[in-house]
Amino acid sequence: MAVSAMHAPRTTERSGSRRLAALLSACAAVLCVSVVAIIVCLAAASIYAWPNALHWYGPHNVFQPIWATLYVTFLALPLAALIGIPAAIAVSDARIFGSAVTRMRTAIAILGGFPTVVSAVAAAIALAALHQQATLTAAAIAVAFLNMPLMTALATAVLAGGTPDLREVATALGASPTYVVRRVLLPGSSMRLGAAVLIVATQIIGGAAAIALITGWAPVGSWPLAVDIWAHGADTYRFGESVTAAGALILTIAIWLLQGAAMLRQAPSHDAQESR
Amino acid sequence: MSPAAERAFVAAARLCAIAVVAIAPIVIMILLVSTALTLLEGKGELAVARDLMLALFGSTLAFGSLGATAGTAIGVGAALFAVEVASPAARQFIKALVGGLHAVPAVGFGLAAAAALLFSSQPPGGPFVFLLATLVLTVMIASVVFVQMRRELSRVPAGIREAASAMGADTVQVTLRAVLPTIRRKVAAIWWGAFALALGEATALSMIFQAAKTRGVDLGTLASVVLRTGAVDRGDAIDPIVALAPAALILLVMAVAATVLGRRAAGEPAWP
Repeated sequence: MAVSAMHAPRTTERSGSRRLAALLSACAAVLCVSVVAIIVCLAAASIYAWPNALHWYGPHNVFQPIWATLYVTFLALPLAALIGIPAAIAVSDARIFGSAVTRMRTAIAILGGFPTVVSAVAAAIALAALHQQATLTAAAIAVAFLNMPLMTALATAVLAGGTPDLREVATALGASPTYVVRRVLLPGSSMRLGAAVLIVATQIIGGAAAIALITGWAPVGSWPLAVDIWAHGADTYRFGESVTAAGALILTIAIWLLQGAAMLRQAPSHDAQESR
Repeated sequence: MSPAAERAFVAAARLCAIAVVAIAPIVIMILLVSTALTLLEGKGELAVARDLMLALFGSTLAFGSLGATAGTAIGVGAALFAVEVASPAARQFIKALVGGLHAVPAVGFGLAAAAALLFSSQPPGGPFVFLLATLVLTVMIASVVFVQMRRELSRVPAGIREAASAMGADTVQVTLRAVLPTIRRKVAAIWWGAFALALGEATALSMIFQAAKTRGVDLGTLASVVLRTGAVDRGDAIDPIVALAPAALILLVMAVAATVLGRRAAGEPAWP
């Protein structure tokens, strides 16, 4: 096919290759410059904000939003994992759902295409219809449900990609689904399942839209850091104080560290699969 | 494990999967009933007026297609350069920097762009805000595409590269004539996924449009308007949030159509 149509490069092709290499490197440069520009912008904007942001009793300190972020994360993440990982086990073993397993996988993939704001509007309507107060706890539970499809998809990818041969052999030898999960899947993929949980944690920490829509800006005490930044990002007074920029920088570093931890957990399989 | 425990485990796993999948019909039902209540029974005023809805539909499509196309082009190009062309040291450097970009939350993008609008010496015009919002969306999408593309490139059999190199092709030719054709359908799937992602992007765009509004420029997309209109203190009233359902439903139809079309055109798309 395409490979067979190749021949030794001529001079014009070599200069064409150089131009294409320059084009590809320009694409990489755009992304590299973007991250540097954003970080420099946030760091420069927050340079005088740190005393205010780190003042324990200050009106704009970041500790209250960080506490609210931790509260939402520690409430939503276990719930998302507790339902998402068993769901992934169910859709990754054809014996549990039979012929319906393909439809289940398709449904989860389509559910992943639902915009967060749409699901959050539905959650807010459901809460209002049930006369539930818009609290941070209610928002955290809703956020857990909104992140369940992502948790399930990531865990399914881990379980499907780990040790397919071992799984097939165990199944052929008559091992039950429970045995396959306990003895074959989990020992080989627990590290990568942990990485999937960390990736979902970054989504919960960095997500602002769902909580802002579900609580409807009701007075719930302190807002999670992402929601606080979203609410005050277009506010010249708060931006002038630069506290929002300091918060955004803290949030970026937190997510970067979590993503790094997730990548380290994925490292053994990546080394084998992806040497590039 | 006893047979009873075995059955209980399987039943619990099945129940969890059904609970996850059930989110979709529940969301659709809530939005359909709320839309019917708003439109047919006149239970509440539409949160987004009919004529504005058409304009927002157009701007959402414009931002979505521009952001997805430019983001996919840059993300694919950057990944091809990092994985196939760059030296190992440059590869690690690019991977680390783009990893950092991937870690920037949507509010970080929105805040940096809002600062450019809020503190510019001259009031920004509509085209400048449009370009800035498209640029932010493009970079956000490109960082996601870069990660997906790296994953796809790692799955290309090494034999394809070896065969192409053995025939005298240089690294760029190997990339464009041997590697890229083998993942052409995956790139199409990535574009559709990026389009669905761009349609639903609300956080960063709503921050940019809010900042632009303070400088006299009024722009928006369906997702950003739904977020900005819905995130206000409603008290105990249900009508304001129910009135958002028609706009949310249109956005859902657009996003699901993009996902389904992507699956039909290019097989199973990668998770955004």
